[in-house]
Amino acid sequence: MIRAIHIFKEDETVFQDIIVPNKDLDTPAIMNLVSASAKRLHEWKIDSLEIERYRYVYLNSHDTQFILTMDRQASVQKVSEAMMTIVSKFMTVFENALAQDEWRTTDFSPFEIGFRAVVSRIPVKVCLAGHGGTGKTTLLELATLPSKGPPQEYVPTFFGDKALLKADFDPYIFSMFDLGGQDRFVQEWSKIIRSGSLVVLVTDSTVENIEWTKRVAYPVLKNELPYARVIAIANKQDLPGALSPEEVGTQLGVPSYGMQANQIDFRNRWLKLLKDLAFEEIESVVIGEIVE
Amino acid sequence: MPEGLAVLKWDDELGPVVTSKTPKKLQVGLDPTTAMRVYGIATLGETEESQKPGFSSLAFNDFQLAVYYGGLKMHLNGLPSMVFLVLSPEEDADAYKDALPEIATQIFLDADGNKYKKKVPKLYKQLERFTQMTPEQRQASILNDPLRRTIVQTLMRNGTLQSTELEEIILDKIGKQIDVDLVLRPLVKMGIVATGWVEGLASEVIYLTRALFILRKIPLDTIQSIREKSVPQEVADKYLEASRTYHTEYLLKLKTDLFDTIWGDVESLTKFTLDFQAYDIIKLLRQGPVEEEQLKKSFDLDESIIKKQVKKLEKANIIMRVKDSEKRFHILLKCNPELLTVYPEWLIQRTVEMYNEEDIVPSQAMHYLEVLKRSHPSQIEELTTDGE
Repeated sequence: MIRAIHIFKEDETVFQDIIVPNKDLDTPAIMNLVSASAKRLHEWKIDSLEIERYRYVYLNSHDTQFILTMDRQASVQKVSEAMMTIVSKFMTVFENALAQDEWRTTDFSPFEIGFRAVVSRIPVKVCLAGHGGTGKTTLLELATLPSKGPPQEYVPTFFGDKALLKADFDPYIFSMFDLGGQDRFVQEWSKIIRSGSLVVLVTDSTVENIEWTKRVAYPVLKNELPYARVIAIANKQDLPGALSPEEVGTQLGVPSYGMQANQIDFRNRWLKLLKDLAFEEIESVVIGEIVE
Repeated sequence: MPEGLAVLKWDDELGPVVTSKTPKKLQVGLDPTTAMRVYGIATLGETEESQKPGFSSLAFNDFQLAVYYGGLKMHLNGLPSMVFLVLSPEEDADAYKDALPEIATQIFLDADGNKYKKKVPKLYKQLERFTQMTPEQRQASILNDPLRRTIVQTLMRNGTLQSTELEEIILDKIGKQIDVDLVLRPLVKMGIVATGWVEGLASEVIYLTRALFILRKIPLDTIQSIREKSVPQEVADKYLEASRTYHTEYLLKLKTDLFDTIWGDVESLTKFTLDFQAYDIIKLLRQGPVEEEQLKKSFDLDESIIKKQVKKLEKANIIMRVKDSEKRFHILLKCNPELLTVYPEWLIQRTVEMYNEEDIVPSQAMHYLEVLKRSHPSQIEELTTDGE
């Protein structure tokens, strides 16, 4: 997931578009550091720098430094390809302005459309993880197949499932992966979840299910996606004896949100949660920092 | 016949993506859920490091899939990839167990610059032929494949190879690493090579148990038929004279340079055996001479195609076209391209020599001699008699 672009020339910001702000780090200080490193790069050579859960991919062209901020866990290859496209697009329009002193007075803001179009081509990978029968497939279908309505019967997912989700998430589209929750498939998750930016833990609101998640799912997720952000869905809130989302969250060490995935009425809430997770407008944690 | 062929490549963001398919309108079996299952079944139980290539089949309500996973060495642009056939529920997926890996490997080997995408429709057409091949054609396909031909040639010289040496041969010949098991599978299946482990050696050892080659044999059935007056006398005379001259020269060449004579035209002979139209003509002529007009009527093909094939076979000295006094043409087999497997007796002496000259690991030589002993025709006959 590409979060922002910064373009510098002669230490001045030529253009920036921040889709998801970095709330953890001192962005101006990092940009100084990265653009200084970018200046030393050969023309069109791409390099990257990782700090905590972020990766900064940078390139130097026509003495102009391009810096993309991305989720560290996402595919660096795709973002590098996107960088080449972005710079080519930018140069097609602004090469002459950059070559002369004109750039100081040029309005680069129209480039936002071009930048966001490239961003939207790389889907944000969302992994739905949890034990079998907790409602991962139901959530997948609730989001992606609204006309069908959420399934009411449990059919175990073989290996995994996937679907693209286009909703009110501009410029992002989501690539949703439902991970088979039977014990025999958990060891296969590593083949599916690579490059996942976001994880949604799906659990029944019961102590047993939470224990399974901590015992079985956490080791795989912590090993494969330590920098991904995660929330939990405390599903089946309508069942008698269901733990509250807060209680589920406390036991998991992950902010949790209540849900009844088999009810179509919950679709908007589910989409809003996904959107807020991507845009970091709800509380989430980084998987590697989960405190059980 | 399958409903289509598709290539699936893993994409970290999108999951399994169909990168190429034929026919273009193919839809069945390509939905995301099925694609995930295909990826799942192909890689189930494998770790990122172990990823072995393999064939598997999946049955759904309305269709079946035959899947070949390329394994770690056969990634398309660095990502796990598989090739699969969409079949109707009635078809036998296992019928493609040999053909699909062959087709898939050709796709994987052309991954650079996505060149494979153009090849997919052509390979799909070849697939049907693969499943219709006779045992003789299967042997020919081994000799027609430059890599497998090199392996057979090398083994016919030295008898045994370590799999690490074979990997070097593959790399040298193809420029890429292919799974050794995939390359050897048809050879093992036909009883031409055997593999085994020898104590003290780090890699598997490959042994030749039967030599495989193709010869231009004298077409005895044609000669017999001529003796029974199946063609006019003037045709018989012309044919016998030409045939005698040709085979005398060929035998002389075999005596002077056996290796070059055998391997010199293996490519063209196997090519004709694998070309279904040419092969059908050869098969018909093996039974005896045929009048040209009769030949044209024997096949459900355009006259021009038959003419073209006859011309090619004549040029390759496989058939003869002889005119009789009534200006009718007769087509006769000049030589019979015959695939032969023989017990490699000469390799007993060769192995002993290599052992004495320390050109081979002693335990490997001992093991091979044991293999040769076990696969000697007399032993096999004994076993068969015992069995009976």
